[in-house]
Amino acid sequence: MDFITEIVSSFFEAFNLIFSGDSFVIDIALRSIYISGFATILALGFGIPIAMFISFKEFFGKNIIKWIFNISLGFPTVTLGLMLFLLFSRSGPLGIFGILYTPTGIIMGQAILVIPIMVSFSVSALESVDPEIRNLAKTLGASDFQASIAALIEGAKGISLAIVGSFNRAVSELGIALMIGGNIRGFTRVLTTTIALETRRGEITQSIAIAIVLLFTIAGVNIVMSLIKRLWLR
Amino acid sequence: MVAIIMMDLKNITKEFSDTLALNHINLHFDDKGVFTIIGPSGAGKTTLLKILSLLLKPTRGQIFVNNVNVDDNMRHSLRRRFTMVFQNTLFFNSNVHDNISYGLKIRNLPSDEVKKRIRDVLMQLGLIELEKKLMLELSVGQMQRVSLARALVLEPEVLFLDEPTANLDPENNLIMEREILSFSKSKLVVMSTHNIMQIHRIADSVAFLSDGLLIDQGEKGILEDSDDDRIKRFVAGETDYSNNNC
Repeated sequence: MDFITEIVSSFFEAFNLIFSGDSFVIDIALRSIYISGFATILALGFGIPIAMFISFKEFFGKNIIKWIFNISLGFPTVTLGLMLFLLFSRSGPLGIFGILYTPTGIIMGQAILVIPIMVSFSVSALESVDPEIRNLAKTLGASDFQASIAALIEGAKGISLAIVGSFNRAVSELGIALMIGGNIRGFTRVLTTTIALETRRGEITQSIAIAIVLLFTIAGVNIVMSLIKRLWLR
Repeated sequence: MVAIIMMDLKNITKEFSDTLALNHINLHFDDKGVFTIIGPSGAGKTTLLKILSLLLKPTRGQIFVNNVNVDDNMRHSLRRRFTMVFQNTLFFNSNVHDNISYGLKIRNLPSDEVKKRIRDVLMQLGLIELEKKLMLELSVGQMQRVSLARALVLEPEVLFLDEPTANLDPENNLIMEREILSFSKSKLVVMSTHNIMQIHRIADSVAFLSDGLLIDQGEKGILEDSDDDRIKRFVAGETDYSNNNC
């Protein structure tokens, strides 16, 4: 009973912490949005051209490439974190860039993590667009590239799902943020690493507050994307 | 500038992975009038139109435009002089205005010119009330009129139409045929159809395809005068026959 009372009171304290504008909570939340948002944009930049190539071109091994991206959806973040740690560490092949334990390192790691989501969801969205749409655009004077952009716009609803899914995966992962970022206070500490740290330290109220912020962040991004879909993509 | 466009197909063959869609097709298209392509389902009519409109490359054979052999470098610029209306009502998931303006925006025309052309074509096809409507809100007949408006607004030199009046009610059918006839007075229309009565109403020339083969071509009277069993059976209404039974 005491345990339940403690949990409930922690929830109240957590909400108080959030709505009182606690600078510690706000700082971590903004850093998480910045890092995962940037990672999502990076994944978008790489993922959409790959998805367009897979969807619109016929080539040998196309199904194998799609399969590789599909199985990469479930890639364990700790494994990826370890691989990147070995790459980015001082003695590793990319050690000279000094991006281990920096936000840039986390951004790169999360981008690599979510590119398969971006590609797989986008391929699915683009393949559901009527293939004749590209021919329609071409008969109206579009070049091959412009026709592909027309098909991309037709598949925008599915691609918006890819963006939301990628951001959600990036912002809620722990392995990369912990192993590549190092959870340095005020520098690489994000929502998930804070939850892990505060729980380990027995600061349940703080953990619950941060967990609620994480859920609100995910919900907020979903709401914004839904509004964009409703207003612009009809 | 209204350029005269004549087209010729020389020994056009199109193979898909396991299908011979067109087999050694030779055709000549004059610079104006309505040229109709008729034949049963699967005869190769749509494939032929896509090759003519330079959307598909033939497996073998040559396409000549004004006696010049079309090579890869010419395809995009020539495609801008043609437009095609597709068999199924194909459209961008947007409103009527956006669909009609797409080709004009691609060409970077001045906004005043775009507005004027859209307004004119909407008036011409009786679509002015529907300009802001979403395509999904339109009837099939209205969608097909928008498809024709989207093609005509570009002032093409050749118009390709893939069964443009299939499933249309008499009123929309009449509007479409009126516009096709008006366009064909000075430019070439190449149109596929299943409708023999329509050929009698608007066609100048006709080609009959069956199983990828050009069976006959000439003036519209060839359909009734032909001795070919496939054409006779098609004219008699047996549209779903197989060549193997001939």
